[in-house]
Amino acid sequence: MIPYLSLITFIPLLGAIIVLFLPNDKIIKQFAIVWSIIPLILATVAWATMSTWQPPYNFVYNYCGPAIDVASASYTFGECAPWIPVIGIQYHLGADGLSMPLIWLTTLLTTLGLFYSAKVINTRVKEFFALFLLLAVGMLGVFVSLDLFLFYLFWEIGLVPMYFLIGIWGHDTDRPQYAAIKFFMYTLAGSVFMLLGIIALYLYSTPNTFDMTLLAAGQSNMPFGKDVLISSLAFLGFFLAFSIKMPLFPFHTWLPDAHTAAPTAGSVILAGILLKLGGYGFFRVLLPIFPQVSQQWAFWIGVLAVISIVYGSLVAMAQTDFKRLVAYSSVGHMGFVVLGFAAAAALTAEQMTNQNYINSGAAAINGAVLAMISHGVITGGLFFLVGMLYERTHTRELSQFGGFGAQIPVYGALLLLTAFASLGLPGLAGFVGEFMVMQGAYSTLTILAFIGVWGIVFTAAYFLWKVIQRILLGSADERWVKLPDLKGYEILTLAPLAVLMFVIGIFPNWILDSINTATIVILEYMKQI
Amino acid sequence: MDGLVFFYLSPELILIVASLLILGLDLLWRGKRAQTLGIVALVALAAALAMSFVLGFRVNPAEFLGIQWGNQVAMFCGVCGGSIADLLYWTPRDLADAMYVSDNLTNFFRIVGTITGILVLFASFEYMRTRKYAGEFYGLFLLAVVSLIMLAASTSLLMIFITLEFLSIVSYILTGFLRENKKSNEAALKYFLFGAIASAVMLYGMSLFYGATGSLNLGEIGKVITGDTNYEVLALFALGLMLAGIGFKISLVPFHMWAPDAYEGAPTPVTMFLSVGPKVAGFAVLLRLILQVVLVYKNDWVALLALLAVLTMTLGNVVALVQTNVKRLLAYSSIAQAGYMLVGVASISLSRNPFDGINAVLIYIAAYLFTNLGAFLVVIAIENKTGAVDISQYGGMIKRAPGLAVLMVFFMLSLAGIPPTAGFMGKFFVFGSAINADLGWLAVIGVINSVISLFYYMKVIRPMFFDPAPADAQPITYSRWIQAGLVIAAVMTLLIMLFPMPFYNLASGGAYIFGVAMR
Repeated sequence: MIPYLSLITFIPLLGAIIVLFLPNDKIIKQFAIVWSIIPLILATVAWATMSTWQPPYNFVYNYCGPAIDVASASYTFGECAPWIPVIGIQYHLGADGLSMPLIWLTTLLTTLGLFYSAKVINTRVKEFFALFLLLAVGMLGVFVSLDLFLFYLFWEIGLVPMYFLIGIWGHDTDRPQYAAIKFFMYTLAGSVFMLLGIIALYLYSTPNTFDMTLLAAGQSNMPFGKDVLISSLAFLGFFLAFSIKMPLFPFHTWLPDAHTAAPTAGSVILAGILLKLGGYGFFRVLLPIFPQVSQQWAFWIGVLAVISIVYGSLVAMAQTDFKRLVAYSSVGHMGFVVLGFAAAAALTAEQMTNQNYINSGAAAINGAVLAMISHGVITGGLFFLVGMLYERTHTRELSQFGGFGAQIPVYGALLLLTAFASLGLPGLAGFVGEFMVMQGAYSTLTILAFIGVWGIVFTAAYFLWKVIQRILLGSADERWVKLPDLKGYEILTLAPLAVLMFVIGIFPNWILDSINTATIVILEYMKQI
Repeated sequence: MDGLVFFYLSPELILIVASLLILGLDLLWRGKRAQTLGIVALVALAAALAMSFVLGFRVNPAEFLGIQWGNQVAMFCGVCGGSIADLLYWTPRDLADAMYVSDNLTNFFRIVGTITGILVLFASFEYMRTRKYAGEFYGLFLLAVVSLIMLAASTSLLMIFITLEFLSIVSYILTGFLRENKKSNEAALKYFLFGAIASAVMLYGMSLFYGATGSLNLGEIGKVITGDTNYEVLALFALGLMLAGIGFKISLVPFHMWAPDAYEGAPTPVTMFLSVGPKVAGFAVLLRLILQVVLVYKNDWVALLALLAVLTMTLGNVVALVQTNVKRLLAYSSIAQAGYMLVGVASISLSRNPFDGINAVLIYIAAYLFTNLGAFLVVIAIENKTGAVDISQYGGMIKRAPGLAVLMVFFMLSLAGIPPTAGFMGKFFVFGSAINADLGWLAVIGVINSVISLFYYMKVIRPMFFDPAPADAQPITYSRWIQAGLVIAAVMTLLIMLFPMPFYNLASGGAYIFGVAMR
């Protein structure tokens, strides 16, 4: 039995340490890329074989007792060992259909990010590659943790490398030091309240535990009983952490600064994975552990989501900087994920007995998770494209561009594909998830669905008007006559993402089937309202 | 009792003898061979640390010494089991009459004090080599360590006052140790004046306790005060006055004004000592005072301590934001850190829950000890080579001394409470205990403060990594002693996070006696 999850999480950490002792830049780059492929392969194998790991064979090892065995029956590749016994903290890992696609995406984007950075990062190489691998540890750790203490630990560990990536390799014109500390403080401000929420969950549960699977509703362990005030406060702690990370309006202001200042690969990881940590938390923690409170607040969270969608798209439309535009587009897209959460959470106890409503709840959750994955693929691609253009022109001002469709056709084609995927063209990745979220939201949050759909229209508007028209169409400035088209390594970086955009768009089922296994479990917990 | 007294007091005795030996030899050798004297001090501290562990792990003393003690073995078998008989007294009477105890809490502070001493000595060797009167420094320094341990062991008002003054006077001398440096002199004078006033106010508080109860012993006073609720106002008032003296040592707001000036002016190894040693010893006294004397008037002291905690955290953090001198910045940081510890004291509930205030304070102290000493070791390593104590002079440190820069990040993250560091574990327990004691609002203020603190901790890091090095910058080398100290501090800072159980046991051992005594 291979402990897949431990290996996937800690192999990058080992890599980061090895990088520190390697002699020259070339070896560091080659080593880091090759090393990062190991977790990618492991994650691929794990995902492919996940369905064969059914109970009672879902644990690699379990030294935590039979209660854990029962509670985490829906998780595969389980690993559990006592860590700090006096307060019941365990080293408990596990993956299900919700976390596995995100783990896989993380390993993929890490490899692509390292591959692309090997060509464009030439200052302080050793630090960059070590920090980048360290960043992967933090993110992967969040997705595999089933103990809230462990979850928090990894959640915070990811902040430090990102702070340095933004601060050191950001462009001087983008105020990288300001953006870095702003990112760090915003995210920390959210997560410290989550820490209080975690402690409250521990203190109010019987028996006291930090284990997510034991805390989930329906495990006969209702931490707060009927105490509305305390459970709402704990919920608020988690909600703040997740919605700042997402980011949800009005907590989004760190995002444009951080995205703009970060180096290309940093932006890719930031948009592709880091934002998903928040979304993942909504479905892994809030829905299963706080179904009642989620239900009470669902409408207002939906309102924030819709504001994010519409406001994010409108602000994106007003941008003159290509990278900021893409950054704001993330606010809008992540709004759909939260809308999916709100739509599912809004199901009342009465509705949970009606199969139609349950189906629409399932659609909302499945759609939201799929939207996270396709946003990771698409926006990852968009940030690579922004970076590649910047490397050539040394500007990101949209007004400076024009006529690149004819000038650099390969770039033009890939940008066209990615932009269409992002604006939700049917047949490409962006469409399926957002469509399903809308489908789910229509039955429980009808008004919000009607407003939210305008976000899709605005998104289409700014991608067509600002991105495709400004960059690809029109006549080229004479400065850009000798602009070189994409090189081999750049095409190689984008190719996997482009293929995924088609594959997810046309055959979404291979991911949806996986997500759905987790969604069914979440819906079971929600029935305990 | 007889001979066993020497066994139970061995850490203190070793330190006192070594200190007198060093002062004598220094006189004899006329200030030469200071390095040797430093080594003597180091050996003495290591021996005291070893003895503290022996006492802390409740080794049967008779077996340990290989001596037959007759009946006394049986008498101390309770020691092995860790019961209330663990307490040792100057006078062989009952608990209430003890002036000086050698219990688990004392042992905890013996370990804390000697480790602080060892790490500060590691930092001093290179610093003192170029300075005068190094031999005297080592002798006095050992006295400072022993006095802080004795302060933590005192359970009588008289002993508390004497040991507090002992610690204070040695600290004044050490602060002004750079005789030709005006800043050092100024710092010592300020420290002295504040200290004198604080002692006087504390004496007033003590006199109230004595006048009302007719006893100097904490347990005895506690019994009288607990028995009659008419004493509530007096107890609160006297506690408040005594807090002036203790708060001065801990550097609580509003008794903190001396700290930034003293920290800035004192020789940096002394600053390093002041930021940890006297501060934590103050917490030992505070714990004994709260638990043995005023425990029943819970609403009063919780409100008082919570208020002071909020003031201390907030003022320390907010003022630290604008500091540019790293020693001053760390001074305000240590004020704020005292505020977090005070949150733990205010959250004492004597529940059997692991998230109890006493555990939390002691774990926080262990975490703070290694983290803060580590941070100062980095500051001293840089200062020794370049004389730089201003943050703006830290530019490009990642190129000049990558090891120091990376370790500084680690220590700053620990002070800010970001995992995977000891500081996170400390905050985790402190805020957990606050929620456990229904002081959730205090925990919320605490976490907001730790977010604020991140800004100035990162301010120290920023030039190290983001700014270019000055044109004439040389790589920074530092002695093997400092290297050793840094390795110890960093490894322990990591270990408290990764394997907290031994540290938890040590802390809860310190907390244990109160759990038993108060039930």
